[in-house]
Amino acid sequence: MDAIKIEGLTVSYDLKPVLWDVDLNIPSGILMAIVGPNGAGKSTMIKAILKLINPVSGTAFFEGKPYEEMRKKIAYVPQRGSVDWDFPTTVFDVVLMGRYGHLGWFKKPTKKDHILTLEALEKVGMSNFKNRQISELSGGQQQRVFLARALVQDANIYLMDEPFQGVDAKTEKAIIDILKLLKNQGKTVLVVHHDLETVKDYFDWLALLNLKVIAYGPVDKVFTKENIERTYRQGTISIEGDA
Amino acid sequence: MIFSSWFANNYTMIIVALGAMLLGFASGLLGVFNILKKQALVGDALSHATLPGVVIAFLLTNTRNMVTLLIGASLSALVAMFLINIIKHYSKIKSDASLALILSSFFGFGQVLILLAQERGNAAAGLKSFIFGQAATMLKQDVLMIAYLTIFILLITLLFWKEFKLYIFNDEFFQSLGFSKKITNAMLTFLTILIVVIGIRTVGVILMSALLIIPGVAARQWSNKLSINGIIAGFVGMISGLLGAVISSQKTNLPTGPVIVIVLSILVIVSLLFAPKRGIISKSIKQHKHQKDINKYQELISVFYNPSKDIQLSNDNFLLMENYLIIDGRKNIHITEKGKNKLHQILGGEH
Repeated sequence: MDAIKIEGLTVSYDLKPVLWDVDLNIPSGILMAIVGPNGAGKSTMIKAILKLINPVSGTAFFEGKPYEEMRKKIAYVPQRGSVDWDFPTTVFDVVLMGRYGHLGWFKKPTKKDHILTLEALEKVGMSNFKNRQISELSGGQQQRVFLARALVQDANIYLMDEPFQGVDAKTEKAIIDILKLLKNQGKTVLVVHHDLETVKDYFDWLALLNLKVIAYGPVDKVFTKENIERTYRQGTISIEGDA
Repeated sequence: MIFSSWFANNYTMIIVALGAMLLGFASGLLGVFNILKKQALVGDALSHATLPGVVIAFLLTNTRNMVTLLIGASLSALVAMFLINIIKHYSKIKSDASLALILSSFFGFGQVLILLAQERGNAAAGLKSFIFGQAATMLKQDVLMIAYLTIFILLITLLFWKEFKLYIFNDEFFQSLGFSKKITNAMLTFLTILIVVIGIRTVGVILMSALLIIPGVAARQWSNKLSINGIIAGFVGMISGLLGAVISSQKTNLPTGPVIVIVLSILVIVSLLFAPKRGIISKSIKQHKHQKDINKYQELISVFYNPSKDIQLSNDNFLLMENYLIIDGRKNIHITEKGKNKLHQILGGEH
């Protein structure tokens, strides 16, 4: 069964469509990049399938079930820039937040949640920073903290919005190693990605997106010069076309 | 004996002071969340917006019963909140402008209503105490009601602690975990309206927002942990509530609100200046030292940034004497381990 199945997803902001009739069947156990120019609707697609924004039409199923039933098995990593890093809290606290979904309303984190948090910090190499103020972190450290927060969610499906944005080479390597590890454990990982040069090294599947899906599938089939050009060519997208 | 007679003589004032302390604590704590949510001005708009509700409740019922007036205040604040949301949704007016719009129009309307009410005679005289607050003239049962409601607010805030924290820090992630943004936001707004409504009789509609905002601003200077922020803000609010109630009761016609604000202002100025990490003084000392270091070690920094540039160092240069730099046999300059540590210290962790 597909890990994620997106059917006819259309999203519109301010009278302008940003995603048009997206269909994707994403099998389990792959590491997939979502690539496209700025404003192509990559983040919007992730937010729409997580019901963070309301689509005009279309649905998504996770392992055959609607999002509400699979919530605890899905981890979301928002863009680093979407939060105020001057918020008064520590690295440990932010990672612990990944457990809140399992706790539900009003329940306080238990010892088990603390242990899982420490383990996740260890995995991303941030154990020494656990009591650090989040305002004192570099961009790469912020991404590691967000990744650790997703890891404690103990999910089957990971949706990550630009986890490599603003990170140094060392952190990029550390993050991709963890993503590959997740894949090898049978998890499904979707990553909004910007850097065309690393697509072949990092990912085994690829979806090219620009308002609609230009092409998707295994990287060696989809990552062609022609497809890339079609994705990045400006102003030639016709909505009536082959949507 | 002396104490018990003092207690008996000052019974009302003690009750009022306790009420003001509780109010200050809850207000400071709740203010921390409002500030972090970057909506400090919402409390200000809401408190000003309670005024017409108070007066309308008085005009309709012709009593100065506290519960009636506060229900009027709540309804008025709810209408204001509703209008603020409508403006946010359906127009492109910036939120500070819409808050100022609601604040001033409701408050102006309230003032006009007070004039109308005063034509009805003396019964309306007490309404003015809602503008700047008059803790000392409150009745005991009013103070008790305020105290119960404040404890209720404190308990709900503690119950929602984890939800408020994540909602404010990262609302989309919060929502992705299955929590409702709407419910959480509604609860925060509800608590804010409640604290404002029960605070206006003590502090007054004009200055109530000070009790909501200033403690949180002061607390942020001292701590980087949310729970400590909440506790410090609570205590700052509590101290100013206490002093405000006690000092204003020493003199007839001295309103409580302004006295509370003076106490708060002193506390916030001290915090802004002297806090160890975020304080203005400690920051400028650090800045000054940083500039001095750059001047003193400028050749070292130059070698690091421009290794290819030809830099002339005399043999008695302290960087060589103290082993920050060494010159090898081919007259090339190298940075020593000690020099690298110094660079790390001056230029920060990114290098």
